[in-house]
Amino acid sequence: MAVLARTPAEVGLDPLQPEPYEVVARVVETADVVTLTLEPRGRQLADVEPGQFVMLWGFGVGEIPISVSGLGPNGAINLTVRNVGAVSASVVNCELGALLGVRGPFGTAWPVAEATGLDAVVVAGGLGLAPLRLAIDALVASASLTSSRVTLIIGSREPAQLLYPEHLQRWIDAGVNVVVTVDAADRTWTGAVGTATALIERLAEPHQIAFVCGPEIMMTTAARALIASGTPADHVYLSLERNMHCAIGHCGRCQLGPLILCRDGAVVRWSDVGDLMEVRQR
Amino acid sequence: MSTLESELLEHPFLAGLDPTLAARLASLTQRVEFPAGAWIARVGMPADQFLMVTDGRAGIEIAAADMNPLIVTTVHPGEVLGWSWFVEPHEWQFDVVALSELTALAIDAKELLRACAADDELGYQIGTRLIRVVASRLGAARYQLMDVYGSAR
Repeated sequence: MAVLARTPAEVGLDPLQPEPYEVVARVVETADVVTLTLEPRGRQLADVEPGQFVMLWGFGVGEIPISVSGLGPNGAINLTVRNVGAVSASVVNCELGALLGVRGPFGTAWPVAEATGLDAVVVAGGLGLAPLRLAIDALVASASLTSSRVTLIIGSREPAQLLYPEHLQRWIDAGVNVVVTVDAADRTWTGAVGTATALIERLAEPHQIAFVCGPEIMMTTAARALIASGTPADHVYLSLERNMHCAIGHCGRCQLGPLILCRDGAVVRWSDVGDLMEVRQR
Repeated sequence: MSTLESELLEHPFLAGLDPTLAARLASLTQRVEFPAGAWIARVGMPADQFLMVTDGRAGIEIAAADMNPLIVTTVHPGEVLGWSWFVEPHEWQFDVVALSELTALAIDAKELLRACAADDELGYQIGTRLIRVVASRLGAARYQLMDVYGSAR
């Protein structure tokens, strides 16, 4: 099962009360994606485990769930946000010094301890690399101690949409087998063109554990391809999102079958959700 | 068994093929090389070869008058280039460019078609393997069409 990290209540924070965080850095990743670094100006959140999310409050606008993509000194957290609606637009357009409300962290985490010493593959589609960044760092750290292998497969719309180029280079330098594919490119692109799933099928390598995050249709096809290549279904983990509101398992907005994803996810095991993901929802 | 027969049988496209059929294919096959940047095929050209890539990388490219040429699929070692040879009008439907130095096993398409027509087992084996490739590429193209990494629709 995915690791259940400590809840805000367990460390004395009210899980429904946003804490003030200040925007201290802002990196434009692509035309509509920004990574913000936020530092606490009130109480600091509980420790964040890789894959957990926070509820991010744009004062006067609303609240959205965002996975934590990095951690820094002074209790800083990195959040990578795409401009897709009113709240995310207000967050993406925040200037340095602006205050945002943050509550959390919530949900389950990538099982990085379980992956220690195993041959691991991480599959990230588009913005799905953000919730995986801390997990990849943890896998890289454990791989250096155990000589295990880490493969990172990234799918993106086009080369210009690739996130975190400096981190990609750092992971390559650390020995991670980074393989990137895009949906379309010109001839200057030296990687593959095609779907992430096609790349998994081309590599056809059995892995002992897999972490997958991206659009749901991509996760579904990627999980099937990983299992067909020999990765055990109960060692394939995904990050699933629904319309998270309360984030503490009360409102039910993020229900998926028997699961309340803010509480039982976002990180879930394919063998627990694969059937649910096949159900047509619209 | 000749070297070409062994290479044909080692290529994933022909994995598990009866060696006697591979021997027939070997007589229609030659090794070809393309330097990086070379055209392997152009739209409308006769599709007279079936290429099984053994090394290097090719890009299937679309060039429309009002946009820059776009690579929509890359083809890698162990994969094949082209099914236009199999169906009328036997002309390449897309441009194909070598993105690196590329080597392939090239089967004479006209002779292969004749051989497939004359030998049901060979025709069935080649046809079903090609359909697998077409189905896989069609599925991938459909997912690419969804633009899943863009904003939700």
